[in-house]
Amino acid sequence: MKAQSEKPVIDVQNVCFRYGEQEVLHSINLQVYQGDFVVLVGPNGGGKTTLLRLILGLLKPGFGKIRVLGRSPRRASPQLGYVPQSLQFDPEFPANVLDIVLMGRVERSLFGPYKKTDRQVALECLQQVGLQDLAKRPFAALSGGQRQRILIAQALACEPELLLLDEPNANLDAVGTQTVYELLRQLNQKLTIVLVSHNLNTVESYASHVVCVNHTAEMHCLDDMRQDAKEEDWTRLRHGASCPLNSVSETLPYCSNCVRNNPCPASRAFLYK
Amino acid sequence: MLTLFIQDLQAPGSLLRLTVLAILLCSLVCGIIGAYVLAKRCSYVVGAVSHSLLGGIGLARFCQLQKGMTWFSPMLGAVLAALLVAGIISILTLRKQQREDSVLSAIWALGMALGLSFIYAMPGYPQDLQSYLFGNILLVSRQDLLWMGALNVVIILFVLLFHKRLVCLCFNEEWLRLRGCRTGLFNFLLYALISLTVVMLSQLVGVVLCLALLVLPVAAVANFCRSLPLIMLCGVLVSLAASMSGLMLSYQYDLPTGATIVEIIAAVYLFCVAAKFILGKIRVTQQKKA
Repeated sequence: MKAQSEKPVIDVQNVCFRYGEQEVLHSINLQVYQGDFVVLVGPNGGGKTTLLRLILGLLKPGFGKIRVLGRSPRRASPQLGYVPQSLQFDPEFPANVLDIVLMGRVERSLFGPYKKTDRQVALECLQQVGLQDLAKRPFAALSGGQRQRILIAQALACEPELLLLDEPNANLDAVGTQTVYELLRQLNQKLTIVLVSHNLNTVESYASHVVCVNHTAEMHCLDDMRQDAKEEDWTRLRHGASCPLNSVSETLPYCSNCVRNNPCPASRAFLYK
Repeated sequence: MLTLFIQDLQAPGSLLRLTVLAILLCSLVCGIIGAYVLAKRCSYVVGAVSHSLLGGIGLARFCQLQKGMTWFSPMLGAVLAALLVAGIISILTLRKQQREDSVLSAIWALGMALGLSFIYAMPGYPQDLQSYLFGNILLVSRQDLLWMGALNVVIILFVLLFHKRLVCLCFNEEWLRLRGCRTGLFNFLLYALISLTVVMLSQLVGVVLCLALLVLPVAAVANFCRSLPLIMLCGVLVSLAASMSGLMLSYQYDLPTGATIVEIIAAVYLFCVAAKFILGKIRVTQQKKA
């Protein structure tokens, strides 16, 4: 447990958000502290990505308050490393890998080309994701997993305090996913990480907290659950279970530190569908 | 073979020299701005802007002939229309408020329709309509040339200063916004530069054909080059070579200049596509053997 005196790096208070008539998120409360590895899980349309975009300042909450690093999200955004879904890019974009990573340094100087230090930082970031040999390779020639790691390097080149990732495993196979998460585990030693994922099974062993998002949100501390939960629950969580959210919600009663006045929103969705 | 062309070029005070200079200036921006159009995948914007220019040109001619506003030259009309359209497109498509293709189609058609209405409102059929639609590079004046030169300087300065941001904008607008950049402004500036380039090219090949000049040379070289600066450089060279050869051929054999230039550029493009396809096949068979 974090000391209560420590200030959260992400502080979401009573946030509601609606697209037109439809309320997507209702009364969200969420505190993320320095060094956490938080995974947002939930069904499609449950509002995970919307929550991430609210934290980034790309959307404005209709109600409630969001502070990131003690500032408004819009102000804090230059300190955030954002890794968008790699599917949304033009795969034929005419640039090499180093050019893409350098984009993380775009606002470091107002005019002119990138400086020497920018190139150095970009190369270091490529080294961190283990792809320094590909610096001159065209972006179009990369595999999905490599592309995802390049986008992480791009976010690292911003020298962020927080790393936010939108479904980093969306189009990756098991090996690719493993590599990306191992990388994130290493980065987590220095950085706070928030990621959106469909599949809790693959991230469960890396995450420190899980937030189930489905219209409302509830945070579960996995470290506490690991201590409290019975071994067979975790076995079921890792293998066998057909629905990852379901399996989490089944193990939740063993989580003593989560104050749960209401059943987990995600589990409700899955249990009573 | 090209004796007539060379003779006229060497003649003292030849107007052909102005034409050659205009082609040089056009090719320069063609390659540079064309590369951004390619990276941003917005060649449809070029089409919409170029056709909507006719609205501005028509309005200017109408004011000149009917209202006695002699200062309102067709060139000024075209520039104003281009900037207006750039503004409308960047406002309506930023943050995906409207479907981009619908906005562009509306502008494309409406601009053309307005132009035709203004032309219809003038007595008789204005002689110069043909040259606006299909260009008349041989009639470039010194004043046009000065204007083109100034625009070239602006575009090249802007690109030198903001290239990295423009690339970022083309790759992912949202990402650039998160870095703290005012992407709305830069998006407008990029569209404005594209639009002004279109105005310039419309002098060369007319509003109907300038799409080809801005899109095809870079599309051709993009088959072989993978970095944006290289695409720009090769794009400039290809469009220069194609425009010059188009001019020479059309001058020598009395062909429509704009159409000849576009045909040559299209041929280059097709050649590059075919060459890439064939080279790919050869590489695959070699790999199979090895």
